[in-house]
Amino acid sequence: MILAVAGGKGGVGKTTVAYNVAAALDAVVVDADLGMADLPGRRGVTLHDVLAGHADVTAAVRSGPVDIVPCGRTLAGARACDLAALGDALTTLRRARGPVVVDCPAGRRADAGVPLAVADACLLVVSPRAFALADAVRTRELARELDTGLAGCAVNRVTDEPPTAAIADALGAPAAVVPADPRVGRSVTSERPVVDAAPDSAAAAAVRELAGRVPLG
Amino acid sequence: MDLSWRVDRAGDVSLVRCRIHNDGVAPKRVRVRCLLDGPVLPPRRGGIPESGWDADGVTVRVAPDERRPLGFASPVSPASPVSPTPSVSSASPVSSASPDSAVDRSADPSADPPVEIANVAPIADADPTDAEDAGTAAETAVRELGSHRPPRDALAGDDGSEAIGDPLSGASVSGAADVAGPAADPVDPEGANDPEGANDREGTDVWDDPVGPDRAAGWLDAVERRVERAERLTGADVATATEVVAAAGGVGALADLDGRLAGDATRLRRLSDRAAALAARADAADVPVEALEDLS
Repeated sequence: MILAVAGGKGGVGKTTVAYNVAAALDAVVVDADLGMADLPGRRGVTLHDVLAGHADVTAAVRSGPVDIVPCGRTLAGARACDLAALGDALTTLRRARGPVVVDCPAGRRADAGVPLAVADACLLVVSPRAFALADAVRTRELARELDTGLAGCAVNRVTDEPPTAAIADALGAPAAVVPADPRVGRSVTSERPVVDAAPDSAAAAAVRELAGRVPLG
Repeated sequence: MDLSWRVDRAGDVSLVRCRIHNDGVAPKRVRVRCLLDGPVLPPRRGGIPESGWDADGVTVRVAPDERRPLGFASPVSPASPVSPTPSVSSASPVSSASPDSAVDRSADPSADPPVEIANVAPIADADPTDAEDAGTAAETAVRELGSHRPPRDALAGDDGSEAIGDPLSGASVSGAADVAGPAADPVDPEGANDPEGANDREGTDVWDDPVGPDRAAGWLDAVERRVERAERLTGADVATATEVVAAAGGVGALADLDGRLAGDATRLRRLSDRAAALAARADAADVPVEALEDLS
């Protein structure tokens, strides 16, 4: 299973959701945000090296509570990436390491589309704001054009009761509510996924619910 | 099945345009093979060849009565003869009185065709294998969507060491040009013919702006052109001097060449000193990134 975590808009928490869902799935998480990497790991082989043909993807895996394939930080590295190589890289990684979760960049350009195109399914992350939902709907359309099934959507960083039913209706998939929780926010930089750090929290339950929707078979 | 074609020569590249017309009543899968010596340079989007193209030609599906235009480029050796003769030919198995085949009779039989129809196979509408091979999902997405690449100009100030000797293909360079526009070109293509304008621009704008490796390379190229011009004039005979003056567009254009070169020499020495000092500092510095990450 290759799962793309997408969302259209930047800053809605795609990386956080990708990292925590990967923890719940015992998957490798790949930072595919070629221009603005978020997941930790600045040293060593990165996805830039893999997509430039300089390294094998299995050499880029960085072990941790959740295994990570980090992305390079330079724009020159992003320019040198051949996105057409991403499909083979992710397939190789899945064969070697099991399920793969891909943290996608924002937008509708090729760097956002290619992970969706090569993934078996996607999760959409949306913030409980109307303007963010419009971007999520556009990403949903992109996934549909690329024939990628939508496994579910995460309404992230919820403080008040969100219009979950309306969001699920707009995106055409069940929506899980991830409440605002500082432990979720910190989980990526501290590398402590919320399902381990706070297994009884509502946020951990939401992450498990999202992971449960992913068809692993 | 009719095939018409035309070859134009642009520099060291042959541009082949052809059109196939299915005059039958059933859809056909047609293999068009390139007969030129050079490799086929297929049409690309986002750096990815269009579906159906390979090293020898293209395989396309042509519906009944469809006229399908195709085009590609192929490098030729500069010595080979130019034969831009437009021509039209017709290929078996079916030929009818279409406009193409009418022209065929008056076509120049001496021109060597650049392409031929290698194979025509019938296909059923419902045949799931008749779809043209679109390549992998990733290739299709790269073709269809906008380029992800940050423009070359954005590399200024970045750790752009990889930008020198850019590993990118031609297609990706064109993608960057879409975004960056003409101002991104560090080397004025008119530089050789317009030393005044080129010098002004390269001597001030580029030097005062934040300088990325590409821009620095552009400036160095401009200096090199000035030095070469001055070298040709140093102790030159009348014929050479006349040639250089004419190429520069008159004596006026060369009047302050000496002064510019003095400025160039000063800047180059300053650059050399600073570059050496920076390289030494870069080698000596060590950023404890892992430790810093623990702080945040």
